[in-house]
Amino acid sequence: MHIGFVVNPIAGIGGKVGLKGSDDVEEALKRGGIPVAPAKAAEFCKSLDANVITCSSSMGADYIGGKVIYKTPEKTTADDTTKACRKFLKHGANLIIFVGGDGTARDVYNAVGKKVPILGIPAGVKMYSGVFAINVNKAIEIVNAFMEGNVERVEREIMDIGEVAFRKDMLKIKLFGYALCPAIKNFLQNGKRIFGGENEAKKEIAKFMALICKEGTYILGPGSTVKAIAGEMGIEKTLLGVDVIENGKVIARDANEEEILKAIEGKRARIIVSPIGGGGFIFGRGNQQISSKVIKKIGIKNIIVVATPQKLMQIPFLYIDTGDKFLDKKFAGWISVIAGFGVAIRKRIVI
Amino acid sequence: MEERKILLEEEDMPDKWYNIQADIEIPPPLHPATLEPLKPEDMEAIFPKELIKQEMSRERWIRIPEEIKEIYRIWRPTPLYRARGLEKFLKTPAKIFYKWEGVSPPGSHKPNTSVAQAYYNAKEGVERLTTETGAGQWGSALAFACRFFGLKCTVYMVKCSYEQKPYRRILMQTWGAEVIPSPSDKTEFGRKVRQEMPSTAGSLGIAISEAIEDAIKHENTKYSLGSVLNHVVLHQTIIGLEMKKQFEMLDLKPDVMCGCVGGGSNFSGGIFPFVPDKMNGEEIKFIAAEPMACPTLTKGIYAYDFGDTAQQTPLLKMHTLGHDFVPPAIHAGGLRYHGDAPLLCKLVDEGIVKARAYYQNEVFEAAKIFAQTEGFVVAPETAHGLKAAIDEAIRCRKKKEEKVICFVNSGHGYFDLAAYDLYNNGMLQDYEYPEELIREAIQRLPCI
Repeated sequence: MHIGFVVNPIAGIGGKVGLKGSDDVEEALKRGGIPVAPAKAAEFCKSLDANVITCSSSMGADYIGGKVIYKTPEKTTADDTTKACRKFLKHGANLIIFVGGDGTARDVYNAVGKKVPILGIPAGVKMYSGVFAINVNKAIEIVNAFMEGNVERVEREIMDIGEVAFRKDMLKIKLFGYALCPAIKNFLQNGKRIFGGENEAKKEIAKFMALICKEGTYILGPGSTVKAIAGEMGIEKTLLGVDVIENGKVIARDANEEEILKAIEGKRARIIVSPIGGGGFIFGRGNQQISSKVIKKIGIKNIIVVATPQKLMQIPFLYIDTGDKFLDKKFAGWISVIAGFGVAIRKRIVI
Repeated sequence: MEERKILLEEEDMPDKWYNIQADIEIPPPLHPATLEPLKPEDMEAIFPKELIKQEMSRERWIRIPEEIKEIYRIWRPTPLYRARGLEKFLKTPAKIFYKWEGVSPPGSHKPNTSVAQAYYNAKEGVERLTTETGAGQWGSALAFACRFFGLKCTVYMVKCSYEQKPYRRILMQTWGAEVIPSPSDKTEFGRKVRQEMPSTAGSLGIAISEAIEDAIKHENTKYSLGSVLNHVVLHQTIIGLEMKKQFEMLDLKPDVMCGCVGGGSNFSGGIFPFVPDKMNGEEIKFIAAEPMACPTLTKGIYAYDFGDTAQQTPLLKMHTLGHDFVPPAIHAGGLRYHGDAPLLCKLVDEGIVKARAYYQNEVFEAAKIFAQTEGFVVAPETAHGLKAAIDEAIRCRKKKEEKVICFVNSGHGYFDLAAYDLYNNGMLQDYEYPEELIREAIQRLPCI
C-alpha cells in the first residue's frame, strides 16, 4: 500500500493579504503573506503512520520521511503538482493526499482523474471542492480507515475559478469534474451511521424524483445527484452543465442563462439543484447559469433541493449567493432537502 | 414536605383493565382477501382465543388474572412523579407530573401487555411466540414475559436497531430469546425484501410480516404484537388507571395529558381511562406527540390499510402513511410505524385527541433538559411526549395558567446513549416527511 503525498508549498499565502488565491506569489510575498500549507503539512505528517511516496524538500520530504520519487525544483509551479501525481500513479500509489486549496485539487485531479482516490488537507484560500477533509484530525481518521479497507469511494466535486476574475469580484466558480474520495464506511465524518452507501442513497433520491419529474418542465442543475434523476428517467444529462427537460425529454442541453430563460418562456417550471462542492452553496457556485433572473421567474417555492444524507452530514448549513442580495434574503430559514425515497432532511439556509 | 412522587401500595394496583370499546365504536377490521369484517376464527392462526375475545369485546371492565398481577408486582404500581426540577427550570406556574414506566425490568411500559399476552398464550398450550421489535423495547419486554411462562420467543428486530442498539439484543438473548435482524433470510418475505432492497435499514412493517409468516408456518407458534391492536391497548390502561388513583390521592385532575405515539399503546393506555371524563364534559387536552420523520397522525390519511408491508394483516381503519412507507432511520426507532392504533385514530378523527409532530433535535433538547433537571435519562421515543409537555408548560408560563400537565414517561434511555452522544455533538439530522412531493409522486404512480 503506497500513499502519495504532495504539498503545494505556497498554498494559502494569498488569504490574509486579500488576494483571494495564491496564483500571484510575488504580489502575496510583497504584501507580507505567509503560506498556510507548511504548518498543516507538518501537523498532518506528525500523526501519519503509512508507507509514503513523496516529493523532495518543500513539496513533501520537509515534513515526512518516505520514498522521494519527484524532485522539487527551486521555484515550484502548478505543473509540479500534476507531474508529481503522475509519478505517484506510475509508482502504484493507492491514495493521493495533497495539502492545498481548490487550485491544488484541480492540479491533482488533472493528473489523477478517477484512477485512485484523492484527499485534500485544507490549506488553501478557496476550498469549494468536495475533496477536503474537515480538518487534519479527520484526515488522519480517514487515511487510517482507508488502510484498514474500511472506506467507500464516493464521488466529490472539483471546483475552481480564475483568480483574476475573482479579484475583480466576478465570481465564476466552475465545476470541473468528479474525483474519487475515500469516506469511512457506515461512519461518515461526524460519526452518524448511515445505512447503505452514498450510491444507494443517490438511487433512492433518483427513483423518487423521477416519479415527480415525469410531467412538466424542470431545470436540472449540475452534479451527479441530479444526473442520477435524469438517468432513472432514461434521459442522458450533462454532468457539469444545466439541462432543461419537459415531459421526460431534453429541450435544452448545457444551457446558459439566456437559453434557460428561452426554454421556460411562458411555462410553469421547477428547478432541481444539489449543493455543489464542500461549501454547501445551492446557488451561485458551479451553477451560475441558474441566475437570479431565472430563479425569480420560477419562484422560490418551485425549487427542489436534493442531496444524499452523507453529503448533508458534511455541510452544517446551506448557502445562497445569487448575486441579488434581496433575492438571497428571501431564502433565509429552513428548507426541506430530498435525501431518499420519500425522505427529507430539513437544513437551515444561512444568508 | 413537598412530595416528589406519589406511590400506590401493591394492593392498590387495579384489578381490572378498562376497555374503551364499551364507550367508543370503531370501524371493524377487514379480512385482507374478502374485505369482509373479520371474524374471530380468522385470527386464530396467529392469536390465542382469549386475546381474540378481548380484541373484540365491548365489556367495559376486564378482570386481570392473579397470575398476571403476580408478575406485574415486580415493578407495579409505578410511581407518579411531580417534576419539580423541570417546573423550576421552565419557570412555569403549571404543575408537571409524569408516570414513570421505566422501572420495569425491560425498562418501559411494554411488559404491561407482554406479560398478559404470554400468560394467555401459555394457558392455551402455545409453545413459542414470534414478534417484531423496532428499538428493542417490545422485543425485550416479550422475551422477559416469555421467560416467566415457559415460552420460547423469536424476535425479528429491525436491522438498523439491531446494529445501532446491540445492548437491547443482548438483553433479549439474556432472557433466552432468539433475535434475528430483519429483513432476514429466515422467511420468504424477508428474502424477497433483501433481494429488492439490499441496503434497507428495515422497518417495523417488514419485521411484522416476517414474524407473522414464521408463526403461520410453524406448529404451536403464535404471534404477538406490541402495539396498535385493541387488546394491547387494553392491557396498557393499567397506566392510566393507576394515574387516576394517584391524582385522586392529590385531589387533582390533569388538564393536559401528553405522550409519544408510535403505534399508540403507551399514550392510549395513559389517557383512555380519562377519555370518558372528557366525554362527560370535563376539560382535558390530550396531546399525541410523534416524529416529523414519520408523522402518521398529523400527515397521514384516515383510511383502511394493512398493518404490515407484505399485506398479510387484516385491514385496519387508521391514520396511515401507507403500508409500504419506510421511514428514515431516526433514533426514536420505536416510533417508526406507518399506522396507529385504530382506537386512538378514532379519537384523533373525532378531535378528542390532538396530534403534534416534532423534529429529532428539539426532542433531544427536551430530553437533555429533563436529564439535567429531573435526573432520569429517557428514551428518545418517550422524549416526544416530554417535548409536548414542556411546550404546554411554557404556554402556561406565557398565559400565567396554573394547569396540571402530565405525560407518560414510557421508558428509560440507557440503551440510547449513542444517540445522546450524537445530539451532544450536534450531529443529528432533522429528518422530515416531504408531504406534498410524496402526494405528487403517488399520483404519478401507474395504477395496477
